[in-house]
Amino acid sequence: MKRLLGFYIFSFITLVLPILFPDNYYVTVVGLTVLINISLAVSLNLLMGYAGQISLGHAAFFGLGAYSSAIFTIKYGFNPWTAIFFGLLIVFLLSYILSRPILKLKGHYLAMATLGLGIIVHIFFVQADEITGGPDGISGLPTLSIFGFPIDTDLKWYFIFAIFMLITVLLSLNIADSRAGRALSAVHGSEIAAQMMGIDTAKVKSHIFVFSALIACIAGSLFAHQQNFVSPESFSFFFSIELVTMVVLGGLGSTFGAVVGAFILSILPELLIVFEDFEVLIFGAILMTIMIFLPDGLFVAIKNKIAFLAFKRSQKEVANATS
Amino acid sequence: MPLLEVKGLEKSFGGLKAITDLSFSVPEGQIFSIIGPNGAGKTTLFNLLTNIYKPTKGSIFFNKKDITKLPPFKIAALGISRTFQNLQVFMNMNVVENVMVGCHLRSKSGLFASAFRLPSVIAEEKRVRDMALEALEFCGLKDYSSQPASALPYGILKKLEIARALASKPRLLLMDEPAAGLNDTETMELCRLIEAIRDSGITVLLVEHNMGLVMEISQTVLVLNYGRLLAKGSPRDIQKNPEVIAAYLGEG
Repeated sequence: MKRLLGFYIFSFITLVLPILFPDNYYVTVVGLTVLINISLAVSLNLLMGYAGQISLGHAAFFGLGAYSSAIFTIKYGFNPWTAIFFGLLIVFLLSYILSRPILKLKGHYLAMATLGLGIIVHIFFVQADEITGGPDGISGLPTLSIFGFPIDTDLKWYFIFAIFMLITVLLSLNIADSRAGRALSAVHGSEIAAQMMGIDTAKVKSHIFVFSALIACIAGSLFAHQQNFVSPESFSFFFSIELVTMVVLGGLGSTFGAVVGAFILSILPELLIVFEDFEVLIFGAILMTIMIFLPDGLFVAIKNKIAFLAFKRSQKEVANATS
Repeated sequence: MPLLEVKGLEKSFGGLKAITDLSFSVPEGQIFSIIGPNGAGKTTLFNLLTNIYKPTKGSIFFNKKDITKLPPFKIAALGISRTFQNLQVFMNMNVVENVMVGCHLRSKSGLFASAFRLPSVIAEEKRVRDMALEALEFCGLKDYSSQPASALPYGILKKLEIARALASKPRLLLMDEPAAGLNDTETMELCRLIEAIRDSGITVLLVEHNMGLVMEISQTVLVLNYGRLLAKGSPRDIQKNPEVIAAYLGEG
């Protein structure tokens, strides 16, 4: 119970917000972006934060999920759920085949390889216009229904995104506290020592790469159905970088860090619109300030500070009790 | 019957021969020390035994099984564990989690089971924690279990590496300079700890510069010089060996 206390509070807030403010722009419009970005950042954190393997191509898997849904439903007339399944199958095969050779690389080289992957997939979306509709994308996706109930309003989509996001967060928290999660942290901490403890590091890295790609793929399918439309812009290299920024901003290696990072990075541009021309400038300044003063990330730095204060207080109580 | 057998082992880095035609065997149940001047190839030998480096020539048998070409994680699975000269503690975890990684081979939940936290995972989690605490207690680190590794002093981290290696229940433990950087009291504690490890049935292969420690606890000492076997024998024989004295003090 205590282990997941934070998660229960977070779930409560997420699910109560739209009930309290069903017509609020920030809940049902910006909120959708926030929710999808949280899912993506949390899935990227599994790879980057836990296993310490950077990926600058995460948007590719998000895009492949979205495009699979669009192409299989519109061009081939599949049921949306069958399309999602095929999307997952494609991303599974692609990420599995690529994972071993790519994750053999380390540091800058890994960054380059994943960057390349992201760019190649993006080029495919733009250039293969017979399949992907080129720069214009594909519009007119059918409505997704769950057990016969159509998901046709923003409010309904909020709940679908929210549940998907909460499941992602829960899985991520579970992994952190498990044999698999420790194996990932070990790879992050020292790959040689991890191997000497019997961890098949290549396998562990490959599994988490695939797992994180699959979450991004489902997020992409949901996103495509909600938007009713896919175009290459949403899945560019810049979006991959944004996801990395979210993870780092909140605090690498912490699930709620990724949540906080994604939340801030998604909502800040909306709030800064009042500054008009200076919007981007102020946005950049805020990010720089956070990273200079809290290099561990916003959430992790605050969490450590609280833990430190609690530790000091307990020391004081011990001192008082003994004197 | 020897637990570890090395036959004609050779490793060269470019033109430099770090290990040349090295053969020896380690009997089960001993503390077997490897000494030699700096650059003699001691750590290289450890890295060859665990296949972090690939040997240029020769073969290594553990418990009669050829392990020369096995990847490190499979060698670990057969029952060899090690500590490192330059610490390789997982600084991103706390003490007990470090040792729980050591229990990796004695548990089996995969990524999927872990993500969905199946009932088997919860039971295993408790079991693994208990195994880790047991290893910590053995090394006298129980009080540190919930502290982050990054906050601990060097001497404690050295012991933590030993606890982590023991948590995998190895048959052979390779220790690379465990006494380096320790003060006299810590070194004495380490002596007792290594003996306790041997007495628990684990064969210890020790690389160490602290001669007092080596001579006190070893049953066999092997001397390496420029990657070659210079001498091998009981601590008493080695201390009297003129070639060893020459290698350490310089030839006159």
